[in-house]
Amino acid sequence: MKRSLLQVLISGLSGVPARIIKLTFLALLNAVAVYGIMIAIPLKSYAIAAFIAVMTLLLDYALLSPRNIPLKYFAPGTVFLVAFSLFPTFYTIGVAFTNYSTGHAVQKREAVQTIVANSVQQIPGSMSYDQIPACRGTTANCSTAANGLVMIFVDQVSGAVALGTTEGLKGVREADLVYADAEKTLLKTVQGYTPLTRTQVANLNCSTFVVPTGADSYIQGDCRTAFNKQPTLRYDAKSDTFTSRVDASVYKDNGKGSYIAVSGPHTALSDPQHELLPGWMVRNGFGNFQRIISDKDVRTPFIRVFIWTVVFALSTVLTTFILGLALALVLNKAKMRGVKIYRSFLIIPYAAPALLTILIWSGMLNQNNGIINALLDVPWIHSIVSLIPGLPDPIPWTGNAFWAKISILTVNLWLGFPYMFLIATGALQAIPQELSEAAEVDGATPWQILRRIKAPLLLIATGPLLVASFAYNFNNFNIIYLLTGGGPAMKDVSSVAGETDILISYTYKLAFDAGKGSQFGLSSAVSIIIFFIVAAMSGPTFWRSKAMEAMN
Amino acid sequence: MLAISRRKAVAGLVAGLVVAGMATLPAAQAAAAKKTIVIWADSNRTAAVKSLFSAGWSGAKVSVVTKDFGAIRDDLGTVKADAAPDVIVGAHDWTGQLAANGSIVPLTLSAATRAVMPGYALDAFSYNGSVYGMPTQLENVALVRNTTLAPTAPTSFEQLRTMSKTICDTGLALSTGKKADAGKPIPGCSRINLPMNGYHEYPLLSGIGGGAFKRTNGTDDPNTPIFYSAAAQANIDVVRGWASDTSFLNKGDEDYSYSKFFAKKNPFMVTGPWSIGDLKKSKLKLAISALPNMVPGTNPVPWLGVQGFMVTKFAAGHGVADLATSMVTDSTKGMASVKAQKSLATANFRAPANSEAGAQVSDALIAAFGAAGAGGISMPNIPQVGCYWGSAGGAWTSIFNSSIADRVDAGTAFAKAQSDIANCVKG
Repeated sequence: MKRSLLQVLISGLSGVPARIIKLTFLALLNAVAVYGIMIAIPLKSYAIAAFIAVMTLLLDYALLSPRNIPLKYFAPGTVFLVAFSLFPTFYTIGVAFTNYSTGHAVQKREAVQTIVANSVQQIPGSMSYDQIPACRGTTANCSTAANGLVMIFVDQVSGAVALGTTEGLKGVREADLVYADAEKTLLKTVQGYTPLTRTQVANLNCSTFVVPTGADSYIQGDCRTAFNKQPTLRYDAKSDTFTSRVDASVYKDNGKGSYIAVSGPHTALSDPQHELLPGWMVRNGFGNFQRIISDKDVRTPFIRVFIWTVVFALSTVLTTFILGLALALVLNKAKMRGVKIYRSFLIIPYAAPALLTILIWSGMLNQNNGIINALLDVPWIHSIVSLIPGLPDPIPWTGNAFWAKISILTVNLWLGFPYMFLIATGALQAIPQELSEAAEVDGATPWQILRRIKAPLLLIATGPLLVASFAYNFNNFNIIYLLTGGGPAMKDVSSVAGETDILISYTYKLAFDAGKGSQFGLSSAVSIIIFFIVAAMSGPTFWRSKAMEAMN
Repeated sequence: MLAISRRKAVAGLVAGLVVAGMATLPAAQAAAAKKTIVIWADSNRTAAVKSLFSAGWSGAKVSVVTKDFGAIRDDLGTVKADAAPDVIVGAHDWTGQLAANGSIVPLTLSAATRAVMPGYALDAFSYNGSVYGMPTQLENVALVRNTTLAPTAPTSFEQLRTMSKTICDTGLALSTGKKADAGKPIPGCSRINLPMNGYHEYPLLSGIGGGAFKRTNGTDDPNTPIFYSAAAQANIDVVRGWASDTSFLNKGDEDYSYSKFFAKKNPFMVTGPWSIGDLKKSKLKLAISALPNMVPGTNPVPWLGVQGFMVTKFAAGHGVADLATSMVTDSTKGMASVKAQKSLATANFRAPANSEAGAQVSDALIAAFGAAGAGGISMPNIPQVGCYWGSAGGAWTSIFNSSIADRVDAGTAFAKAQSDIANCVKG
């Protein structure tokens, strides 16, 4: 008896080989998990470490235990669902309630450190020095101030030499200077101190070696060059305020993730120095959602974009389904010659990468140099066009709001109909031939057969897929972004939104193109709203198609 | 059904642990070895950086990761600390945004380094009073002219427009009257390849007296946009004139007219040093100059882009903050040195920021673009500069919409851009 390849594989891989494969797989999985935990713990990502540990133990238990057969199939899928679907979802929800954006991307502690560090400036008009790290004594075996590290500073202008310790600066006698050359231009060291070798210097952290020169001022360098520095802002941890050394401005935590000036010359909201940067991430409740509703530059385009999104998704589903179904009906004749070849040709737009297809279309639709307008550039077409009032010549395929929408729907029809054609072909072939034949015997016309017999059966099979297609096109970012970029711009609203933007491309623009860096919090809030819209619109339709199925 | 004994199960887990342990070994070994400075550079500069620091820097190894230029800025915000770079190459207009996020650290420059850097190049990388980057190269747009088709330079922008129209409508070169395209009108030829964005169009904006933000002592005030300044309002009819010439500037024709220039069917092109590679290959006879005046008395200036190297906040965590800082700021052997500046800039066809290195560049095209940028001002680097980019792009696109009927009046578009910028900064 001949056995299929699958049967051979199953029997060949049962027993001992199966166990070896399984154990190897588990061992590798555990190895990856342990490695992951070892990376996560030093980064203080304890939640991730715990998640990996629990999930790995769960998988080990499920796959090694002789019982719980359903769990063996169920557990791996669940783990990946949690890791790659649930986690991003909850993360997005979490971000939507924060002010996470450019300027508010770190935790408060890090923000305070950065503000202090960034405010350090070279004291105006002060010296800069060549810096030579050296060890007290005759051997170069020090790495910190505690075991003898000092810094030799050579004034870059006057050539004066001083010795820097963590206590302060000390003068050096002329006689103690040791030069590397006879002309005494290149200082080597100071008598009693041994300079570190290049490799030793590379392992130092000179920027942490601060030589105080006053209450708040110090000399600090990078092991080669050092400067007199001073922070321009002083942080007081007790009152949680910053005080400016320059103009005595006081900055306070405003509870929204920023320090803002409460006294001094920068209290005006419009002052560029009103807010200290960076700020930090804070929960801001429903702040992002409130902004979507209350800010008219966000709200007005939102409604217009929303309407076009629905029109776009519905028209796409309708046009692609009608064309796909029509072609499926035409090619649903088994006796037709070359039907397989025709079908293969129709799949091409679906098989070609959509990215390339869209870019090619955008070139073809170019108003002045595109091939479509070039083909239309013949006298008899011009004369026909001139007869129709309101029809522009040449047609502005991407420059005009109406025509840009037509272009998008046309290109999406080209991209989408093969999928509908495939579905409809499959569904048509699943309808028993006897039904049509019985109807024919009863005297039904072909149209009646289609209308009363095939269409209801087709819709039951394809209904959920049409809903899925709607949901997919609702978030079809690629076609909008690549074909028109959302343009042309809305003429009457002050917004990044364009006439052909759909919600998802609008969200992208809000997040990254709105001019102020990345606004992760706001755009997460918008994407949550999009989720509820899609759910509200698809949910009832799914219910209905289910009800139809039950009826059947 | 397979029943696996407890012993086998334990053996499996132990095997897993052993494999995991071995996987972490190389990481542990690396920590004990030499320090490494990790640089993110774009493909244009990777080779130059690698060869400059092939022997390392002050005893540390230098490793270069090639990234897409724009991705360097975006990825810096999301990268995990252990994979993060210590030094990045970047454009100066990233400074505000990266500094506001605390992603880059301020640099203190020695007098020696300051002496060889033009002030505006350092200003370009300054934010809130601190310098955040070491400039290595300068760039700006200029007018490139095919001297075979148009032997004399236009003295005004209006003349540029009529010259290119004549050449295109007749298909004849101005110098010899020889046929440039069989004496037939050249389709699409008089269209200038100006992309409709706030960068390429800036000479047109500054040429009528507009700008981005009011600048005092090198600092931009985001609350005072000057896109539709009083001067721009007075000269707005000039822009209306360009917009009424339907074949002059068109959204969507940039690539087309770029290719037409190289096909010798378009006498003018506005571009920057990034086209030098193409220009050299073309073997065309060229002249490069600043754009001619749009209105008398107001010089159109291009925006100067400065690119350079910055030290990230991650360098301190990796223990290489000092090394990274000295490598970037050192003017004898580091990035600020003549040798480094020359090789970094010319690798990318740009003029070096170091003026001493600039004087040594012999490439005529690089020098010509540099000369055309004289008097230019550096692009704003405040985080709000994005407000200008978005609104300016929108304004030019709507004024020169490919659909003539949908073109927005220049005055209306400018006024909208002005208020859009203000709204965006406030919001």
